[in-house]
Amino acid sequence: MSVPAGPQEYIDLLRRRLALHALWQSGLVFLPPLLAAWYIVFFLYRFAWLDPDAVMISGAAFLIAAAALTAVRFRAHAPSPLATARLIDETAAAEDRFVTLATVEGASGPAEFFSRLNSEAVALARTIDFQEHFPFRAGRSMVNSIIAALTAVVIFQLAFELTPPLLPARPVGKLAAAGQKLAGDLRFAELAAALSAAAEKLEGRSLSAEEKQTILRDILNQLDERIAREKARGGDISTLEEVAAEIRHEAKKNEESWSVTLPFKIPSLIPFRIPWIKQPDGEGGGGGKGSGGQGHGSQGEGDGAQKLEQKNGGGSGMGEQREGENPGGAKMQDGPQRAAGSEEKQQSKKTPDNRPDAQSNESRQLKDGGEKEGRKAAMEKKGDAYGGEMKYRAEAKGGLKGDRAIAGAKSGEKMPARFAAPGEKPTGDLKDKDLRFVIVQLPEEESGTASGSREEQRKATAGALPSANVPLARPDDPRSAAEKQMLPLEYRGMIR
Amino acid sequence: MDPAEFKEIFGRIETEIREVIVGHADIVRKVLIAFFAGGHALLEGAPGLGKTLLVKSLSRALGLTFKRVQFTPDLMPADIIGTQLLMETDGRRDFQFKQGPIFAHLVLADEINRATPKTQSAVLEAMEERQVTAFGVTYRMESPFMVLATQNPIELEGTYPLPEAQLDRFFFKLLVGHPTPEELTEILHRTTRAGEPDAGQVLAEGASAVIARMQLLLRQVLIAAPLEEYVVRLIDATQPDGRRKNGVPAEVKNYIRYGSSPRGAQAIILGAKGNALAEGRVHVSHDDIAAVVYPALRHRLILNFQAEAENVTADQILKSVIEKVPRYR
Repeated sequence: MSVPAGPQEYIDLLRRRLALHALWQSGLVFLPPLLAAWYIVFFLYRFAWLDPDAVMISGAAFLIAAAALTAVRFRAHAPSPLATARLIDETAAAEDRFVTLATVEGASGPAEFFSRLNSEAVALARTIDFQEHFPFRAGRSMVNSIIAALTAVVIFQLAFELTPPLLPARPVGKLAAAGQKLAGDLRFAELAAALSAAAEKLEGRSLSAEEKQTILRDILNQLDERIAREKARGGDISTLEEVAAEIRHEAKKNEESWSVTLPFKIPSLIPFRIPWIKQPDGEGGGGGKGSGGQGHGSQGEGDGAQKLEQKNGGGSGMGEQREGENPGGAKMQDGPQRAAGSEEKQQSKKTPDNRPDAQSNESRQLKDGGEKEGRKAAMEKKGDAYGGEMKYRAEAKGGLKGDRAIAGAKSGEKMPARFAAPGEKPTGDLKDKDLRFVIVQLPEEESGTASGSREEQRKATAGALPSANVPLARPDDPRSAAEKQMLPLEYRGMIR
Repeated sequence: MDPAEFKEIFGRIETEIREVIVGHADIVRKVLIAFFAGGHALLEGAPGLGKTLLVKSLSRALGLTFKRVQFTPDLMPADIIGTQLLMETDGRRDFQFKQGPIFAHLVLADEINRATPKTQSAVLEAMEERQVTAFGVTYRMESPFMVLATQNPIELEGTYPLPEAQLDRFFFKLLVGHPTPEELTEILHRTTRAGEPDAGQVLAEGASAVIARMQLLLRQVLIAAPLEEYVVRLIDATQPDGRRKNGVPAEVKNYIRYGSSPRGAQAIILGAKGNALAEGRVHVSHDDIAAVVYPALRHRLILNFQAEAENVTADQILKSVIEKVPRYR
């Protein structure tokens, strides 16, 4: 560093140095709150409480606010020439020489006075080492800022974990509104109920992005199927198409935010489990689910199962089988369905080649579709959000296992010589148990009013159920059957 | 004249006076500062503390004319200013103005508070305007001109306290205190032996011109704007009905009837400049201001009855004012 020639250069040099210090200090004072605010925003974004647009806007707003506050604080703390001169005076014991030189104009005194004052000031200033006498120090405000930011983050985390009811869930207004719109038409009452149930599920804070997308996809599939069916019938599909378009738009809008994952895991700050608090999923946790999610899921599903049991007067072995041995696949169904699914998964896992049993289970399961549909609708009407939520989770995480199990069973099996035509009764070389794929159409009135015992329903619907072992075409394939069964969502992964 | 020469002359005068006056170094310096600043000084102290000797020594050291007026209750203005006498010159008789003792470079108004206000006011015009009007004729005072007044604070019987207007005309009011035992011992040594010490003459021929240059140099001393603002804030802080943002100090509100006049600020600035030059500097520092605040302001604060009842002095109030007014805004 070159040695300043005059007092004014000393003042300028120190002023620049102190200004830099002030800028750093101002920036560092507002950096922790900015990071805390960003953390909170991204936290909310991660859990889909904020749209990407809102995240961008709020993140930019926080950045601008921090920059503005930094600028304001810098302006307030940036040293003036007078303040700098005072500092040098105090440090060098210059008895106000630098203040005088910084403020007195040359014309206001004899020139020899100024030259003398200059030489005295420079001699005194040489005793100053800027690095030593004016080092950068982290101010108290910076420490306070860090403490405040950390406190805010901790309070936010605790509030998030301890008082979830106080925090507003993100409304899935489009879905609910679409459900209400469809509810006005008696033909679509079932679809409306499914939409409302899906909206409730989407409001769940602990759902992952995958699960939310799966819910939306399924709802769209249902809508598309229904549109295709109505189109085949020649019915009015304008409302359905309108609703489908809205939901598709909503799904597209949310896809980006839901698909974003933080590069780190947000740990729970509470080292113990609080029974009344819904814990977020432990991603990659053992047993296909985090332990917290499993615990909660069992509670929710237990409720759902209990309701079904009361209604149907049947169903056994709920929950225990699921919890016990096959946590991944066993979470796929509720109540008796889940028990059946659990058995199937266990069998397919233990004896992959033992297909008849598996097939019988599967076909039984599928034949019971109408009954399950009715149960599901009834359950969703009761607002058992927890149970439903866990079903979707199970589908997302456990469904893959189910698909693989079925695929494995199929690979070692002899294919039938031909496919049965729709409505053809299996005779000769075609057995009931060989039917793997069915197209089921339930009478609207029966599926809408599914109640009573399983046997009664089976009797009522058995005669009207056309069946075939023709592989199902994709829903968007024009050759696909116009009439399709309204399957509970939890079966989707398995059937595919 | 350059600052070094000023300091040298100032130091020599100071040394000469201190050859006679034991102790009271601060009083000597302040008197000299007041003199070179072109002001007048009021010395207040008990009898026998060397006030008169100080003034006499000063006049001797400076080589200036010196007159002493002992103020008494029967002293008339004409006794100070002068009077017209019927004089006969070449067979003609006419009135001629006979100049009084006020016509000197240094005037000692000893025990000024013993004269009546009428007589006291006779010196007002001379002190401020440096001129005297007698019998319709105005007479200019010689430069330099300085009035050094003394007053006794303990003998108040039959005295006439100086009116505020007259007090304000004194540049400094200096309190002459009792000497320390060491100083008293030195006083005894110097005054009780043969050959009393006398101040030597520093400025001989052309003293007036040298003093005029020194007085001019003093006014050229540099002072920073923030220091001037500090002085202004100090003066403002002495006003009991002040418009200060931070409020008026409680002591000022409770004990002061009238605060300092602008002359107080002038006295501080000029006194600080004189102090800076005496220290060999060409600029005023806060220390210079602090050195002259008390003598410049203590007689300009008009205390109220409560202050007198509670025996609160102007110095006590000034102390709190200085403590509460920040040096920089």
